[in-house]
Amino acid sequence: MATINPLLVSLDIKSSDRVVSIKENGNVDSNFVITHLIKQILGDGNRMCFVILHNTLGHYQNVGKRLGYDFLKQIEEGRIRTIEPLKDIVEDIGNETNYFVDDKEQVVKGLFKSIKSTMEELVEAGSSRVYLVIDDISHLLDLGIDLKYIISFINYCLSLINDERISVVINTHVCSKSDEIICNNLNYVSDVVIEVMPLKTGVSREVTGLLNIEKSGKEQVTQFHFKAYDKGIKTFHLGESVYNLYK
Amino acid sequence: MLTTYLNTLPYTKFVLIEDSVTAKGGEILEYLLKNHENKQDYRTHLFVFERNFNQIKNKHPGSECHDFTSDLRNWMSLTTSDMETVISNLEENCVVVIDSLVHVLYRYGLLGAYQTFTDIKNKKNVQQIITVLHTDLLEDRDKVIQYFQHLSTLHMELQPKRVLYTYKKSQRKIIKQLEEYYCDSGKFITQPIKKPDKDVIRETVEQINPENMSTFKIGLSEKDKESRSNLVLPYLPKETNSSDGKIHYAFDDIDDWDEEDPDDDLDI
Repeated sequence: MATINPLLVSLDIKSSDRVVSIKENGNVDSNFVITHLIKQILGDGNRMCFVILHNTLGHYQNVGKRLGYDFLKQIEEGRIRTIEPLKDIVEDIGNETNYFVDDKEQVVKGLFKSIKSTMEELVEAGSSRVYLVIDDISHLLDLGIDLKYIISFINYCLSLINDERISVVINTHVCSKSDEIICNNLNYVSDVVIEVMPLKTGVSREVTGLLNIEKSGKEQVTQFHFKAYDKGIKTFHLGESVYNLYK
Repeated sequence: MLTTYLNTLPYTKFVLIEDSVTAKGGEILEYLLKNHENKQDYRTHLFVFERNFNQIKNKHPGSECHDFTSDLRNWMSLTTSDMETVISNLEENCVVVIDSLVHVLYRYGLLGAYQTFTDIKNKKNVQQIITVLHTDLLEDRDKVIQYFQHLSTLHMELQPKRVLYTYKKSQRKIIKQLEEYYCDSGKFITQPIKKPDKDVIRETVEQINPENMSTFKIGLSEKDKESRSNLVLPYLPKETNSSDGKIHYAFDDIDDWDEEDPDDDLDI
């Protein structure tokens, strides 16, 4: 990439970061972290298995265009493979199959199996790194799946990193106590924890929210303020919006 | 001192480390594992329930690692061991370390986990059991903690820089202490909390000069002090002439004085 993206520089996700978790608090949309990471993944020539539980393909295509990559084209070329439970759920309505069965363990088991087979195909397709990106795992709770199965599901996803070329990125949001438990679980096992939250005291025209980056092994948590624009995200150190926005 | 209690022989039977996201117990577990791995006369068994098994296995070549994370629910039909079988097969002298009690709870339920730990505790060849309980992953926190604290012989609640531990000695004496701790390059160091030294505090307070702490002028100059002492406060009684409490009112230009009594029409 010719231009360096400031958000990606701030995040500084390396290939040695095998497990990345993103935590979304409050009213701020943390989707920008994933869309920027997609840009980094594609820019480095890597492949991706994308489990979409929150937004539609169209959304990623639109955002991708603004950030400089063609999402649908990458799917056509096989660099990105998507798994869309939302679509399957819509097809299942009325059928009581797949996502609507009573035994919820089978739901997560089926989802994991399809993820695993997709990842294996992607790994065989080339020598690049393969990323598993899940957006957003907290929605599995909305499907009525018990917490214990989701925790097992996370364990299974972590077992994928046995292959040196695989990294896992999981997005979560916090709305209830169970969501909090999933986030905390990921916190213990992640190499990088990115937390996105709104400003504590209200809304600002100049700052959209706060970004916390915690890397395992480092005690210090890096904090940034960020502002969301049409074309991208700008990050700056706390309180320095004045220096960065009005240049 | 906590480190003394952790290391004295015979080892305390069941060590429970209660941690949370703000005060993680991973480093302490690593320290305890390393201590045990170095010993020759018994084997250290590490039951891996959290994280990636291969990563943990490579990090601990001195322990026998059991994989309870890659296929815990048998979704992939890999040949994985059942916890009960592994425990019943522990014959020699050993130390059992379970990296996450919460995962055992989610897999086997509270009853199953409690029974399993009771079984391990009753085995004579197991010299010590060490486990970490992530308190912020529990749905029914108080109940679970209560049961496992009862089962444990040394349990410690980790807070950001302090640890509150309860040690049940074999002579039925119970020691409950709050100590400071820090982890430095693989070592776990605890010390009792020191009371602040009065002389040191007095000295630091005397050294503080408020003038230097802000860009505002806080103190008073000599001239300010003089004019302050010369100020006459209007509401305090004056030293000279007191004239029977009469009110002297000087009329303004726009005032018009009405001689009538406003309360005349009242029938009081």
